[in-house]
Amino acid sequence: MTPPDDPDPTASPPPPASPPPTAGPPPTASPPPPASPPPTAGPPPTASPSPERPHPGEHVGPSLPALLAGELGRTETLQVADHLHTCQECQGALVGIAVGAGALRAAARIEHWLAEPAAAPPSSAPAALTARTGQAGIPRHDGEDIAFLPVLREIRRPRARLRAATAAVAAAVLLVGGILVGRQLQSPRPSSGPVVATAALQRLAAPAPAGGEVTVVAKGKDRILIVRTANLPPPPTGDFYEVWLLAPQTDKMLPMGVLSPTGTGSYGIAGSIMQQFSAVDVSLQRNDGNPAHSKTSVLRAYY
Amino acid sequence: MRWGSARDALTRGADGAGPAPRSTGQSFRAGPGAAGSSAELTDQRSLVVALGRGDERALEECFRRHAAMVRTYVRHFVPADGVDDVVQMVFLELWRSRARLDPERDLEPWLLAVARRRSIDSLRRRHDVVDASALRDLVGDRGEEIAERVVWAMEVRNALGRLPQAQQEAIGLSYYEQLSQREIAERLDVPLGTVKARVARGLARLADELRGSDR
Repeated sequence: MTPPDDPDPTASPPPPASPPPTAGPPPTASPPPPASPPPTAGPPPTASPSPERPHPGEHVGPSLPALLAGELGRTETLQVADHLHTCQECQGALVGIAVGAGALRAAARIEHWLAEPAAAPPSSAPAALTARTGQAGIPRHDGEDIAFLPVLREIRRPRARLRAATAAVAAAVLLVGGILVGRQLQSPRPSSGPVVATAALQRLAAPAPAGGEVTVVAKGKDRILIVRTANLPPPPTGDFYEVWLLAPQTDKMLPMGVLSPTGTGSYGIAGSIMQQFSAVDVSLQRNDGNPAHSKTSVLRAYY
Repeated sequence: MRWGSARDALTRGADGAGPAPRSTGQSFRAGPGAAGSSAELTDQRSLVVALGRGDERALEECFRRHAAMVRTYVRHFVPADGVDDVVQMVFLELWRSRARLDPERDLEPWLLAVARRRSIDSLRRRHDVVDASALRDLVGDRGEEIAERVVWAMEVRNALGRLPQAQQEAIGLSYYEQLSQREIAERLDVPLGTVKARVARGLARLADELRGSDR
């Protein structure tokens, strides 16, 4: 897939309309703040103007991110502009904020770009192709656990060539991997079959350590969605967690079912429906008879 | 479209935020990417040194830290049924090359360079249809440029992880989830002014962190 709006695919970097490669990483290229006050000090709106030069209004540090993000209206923008023209302190703050904002936009842009598979065949294809080519990469159930890297707990057997070349490494790493594998096997595995997707559950409204992962297993033309949450606090009394499929572009949602009190769940669905979605959403629902999504998403995974 | 897709995926371990599987050497316990402390740089160095000694725990730690980034990168190019294979190859190659690694250099660019090569191999081996643009984005200067950007995105994530939690949260919602400051205030149930202050301070501090981490 070509990055969106990429005018010159041969020369330009992945994100559309991004700075040319020669621009280099923003932080090293940025000049140090011209004024002495550290930008982190973030002057409060009520701070008095710097003594050496009068300038209109209050310090505008807190408004600068919104300015750069295009969230300010005409009046506010012009006020900030007036102030910036004369206040060295806020000019200094602007440098740090612009660099931080620029770096984040670059990071978010490439992450977003990466999140969209460039090479994905139609989502029904992997299983069929694997059957034809007999490639490893999807677990084959030949009854042997190699798992020589902890990553690949689902993968039983690498390619023969690889296996032969790495027997020694395998032995060494098996010790390490075994610990992780052992830990993972404790979690329920409601279904076995070729894993066609895995993704980490990312925290939205859930408190800090919460996470988990989703696994999609192929069963013929059907798919089994396995949701394993971790560190999700028990829902408030009378509430429950529900699992949904989500198409982020259109916000189309499909309820898959209630998450069990153990924080896991497994749901069968036709592959043809599954492929119309690209995310799994876990919501906190009120037991009030309203079947709609509560709008409180606690975890989400993109597969 | 929200931006959270690759969130955490780049910085968290492959199996989410699970605890370390066992008590590894103290020097490796600075924590997973997002929670990395200021000791992370020296830590990475000692990690590579330990790897060079043939310490398997170091390999495990490398995997825990970087597999998600490698995987996120590879997934973009390689069809789903080949991803695990490529990720596996990358860490295998890390292990094989352990004696030749330079502890003074960052591991991420090395890992992504290998991931790039292995992804190309994987695509070339395939008999089914491969999107030509996937190969084009992997090879040559363009592929190098993209890999660099992925590493940079990872550094930004890590730097963000060193900010106070409240600033991380506000910035994450703003830049990765693309919420407006007003929406963030609603989501977090705090005054708009608080969101403004958190984002402004956080961005400034992030810039400092990024400059500080540049060697």
